[in-house]
Amino acid sequence: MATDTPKFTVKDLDLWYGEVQALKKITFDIQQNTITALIGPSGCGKSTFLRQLNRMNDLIESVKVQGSVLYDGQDILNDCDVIELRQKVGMVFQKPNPFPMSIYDNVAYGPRLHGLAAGKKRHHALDEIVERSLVHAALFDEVKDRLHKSALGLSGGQQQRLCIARVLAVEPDVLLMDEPTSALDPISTAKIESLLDDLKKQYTIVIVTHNMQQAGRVSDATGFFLTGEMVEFGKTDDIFFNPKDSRTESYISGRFG
Amino acid sequence: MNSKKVPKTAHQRHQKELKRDQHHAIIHWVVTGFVLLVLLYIIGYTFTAGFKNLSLQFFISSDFDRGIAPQLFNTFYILILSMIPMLLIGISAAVYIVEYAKQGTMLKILRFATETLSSVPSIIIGLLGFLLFVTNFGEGPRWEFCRLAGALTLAILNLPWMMRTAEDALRAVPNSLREASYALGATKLQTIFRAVLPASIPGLMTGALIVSGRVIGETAALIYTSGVAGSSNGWFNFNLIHVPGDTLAVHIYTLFADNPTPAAQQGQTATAVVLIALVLGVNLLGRFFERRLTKRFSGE
Repeated sequence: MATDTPKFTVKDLDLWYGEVQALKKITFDIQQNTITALIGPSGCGKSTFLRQLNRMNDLIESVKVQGSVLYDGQDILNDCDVIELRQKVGMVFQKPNPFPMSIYDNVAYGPRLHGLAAGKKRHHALDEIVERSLVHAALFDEVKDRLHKSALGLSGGQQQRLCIARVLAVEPDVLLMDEPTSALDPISTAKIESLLDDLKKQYTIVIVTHNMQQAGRVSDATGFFLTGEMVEFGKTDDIFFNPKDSRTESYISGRFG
Repeated sequence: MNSKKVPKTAHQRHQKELKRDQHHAIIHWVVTGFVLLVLLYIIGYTFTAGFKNLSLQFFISSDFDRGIAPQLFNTFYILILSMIPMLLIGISAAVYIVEYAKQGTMLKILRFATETLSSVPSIIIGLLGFLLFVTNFGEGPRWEFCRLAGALTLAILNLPWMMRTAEDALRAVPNSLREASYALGATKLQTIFRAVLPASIPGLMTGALIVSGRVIGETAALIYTSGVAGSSNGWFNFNLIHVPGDTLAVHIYTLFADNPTPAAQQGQTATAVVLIALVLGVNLLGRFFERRLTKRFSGE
């Protein structure tokens, strides 16, 4: 595996909401099979940046983008099939958002869209995908007896892991996570954090978080955003213990944000 | 000239506000109570007058003033016939408004049109139905007074209501579900059909049931379209365009207009009981689905 080819290469990325510039000349690389944390105060552009990696910003009309983002060497801003991109670059949202359907149907939603379970033994194949995804998201044991019950009966933490399973079911390559634990209690948070460690063996993970301890615990690299700029990016240990920029240092030490 | 106003303390002001609050509460209670009383009076009056005239015979007989078998059948037949086009067009229009339309002139025109349509008197819509379906403007092949004409007329009459309730149902689907679907690589159409519409089914059911209540109770729009006669050749008859047929609501009107004998009056009150019970039942069913919808999105 050519681990030194970056998964994403971001260069001079600018983004505007109408007249307001939300991202300014963002430039950095995201390495394969690592967890990259994006930290910074509210409204600094970290979520906006994350949503550019799978082009969710397309859903907002007023957004204009400039610069380049390469995913495995492919320009995803101009020359790319968004549907295919989103299948490869999955996303978990801040608030768990399961569909009001059964647990099974939630996980099977993506595979059904993309016809991942094909052939004569389609149902069997789909069962397998659902089970594998739930196992992978460390949820299977808790829900195996009620796969066909509503997903809304699950606890918040379980719902969030279900959302992770739902993303894993479409066989992505990258997981984008937008403050995935900010709506959860500490125990559920711990479960998801330990899950992240497992997942990075197979996936490249980019996580936006408000919680600096979390960034310190789970990530390999950290980027610090401030008012639309990437102030500093580097190994998590360097950012936390040896920041180069004074703004990073004061944010890390809790002087603002 | 010594009556200088003493500035009120915060406490006094607070007391005054509290009192005002109480007065308002009382007014609201009185008004609400009045509305409730009117409803109870109508239901109570109808039931005391008509309940004793109900019998099994009344439900299965097709005699003009002794039974309502054809009218019951026609009511449900017309209801189903009108709901099919109404649901299809109403939901499609709502999908367009909620999922596709951009704020602008087109949407404004659409809103103005539906609002105007919903305030046109039903007798006018009935005349339109008469021209459009029954006489075909006096040109070419024509239907007669028939239940399909009545159903289509009711579909036109209630389309704005169906659209509005369907729109509410779609808007009640949280955006986070749409995002979840897009993020899994769904197209817009897939998102609408696989995530948004399934999630809005309880809301759509509520809307459809509320509109059903209106369809069941409509008279004016039917008099010139499906006609005032019970199905002549056997009441259990599916013929769409050659057989006229009156509904329960129209039947109440005809019984009185044609021949106000005591027997007709008894039939009238009994029919009213059945009609009110039906409308009430449909509305209660609508409430039930509404509650399920709220449950569904709050995660019980």
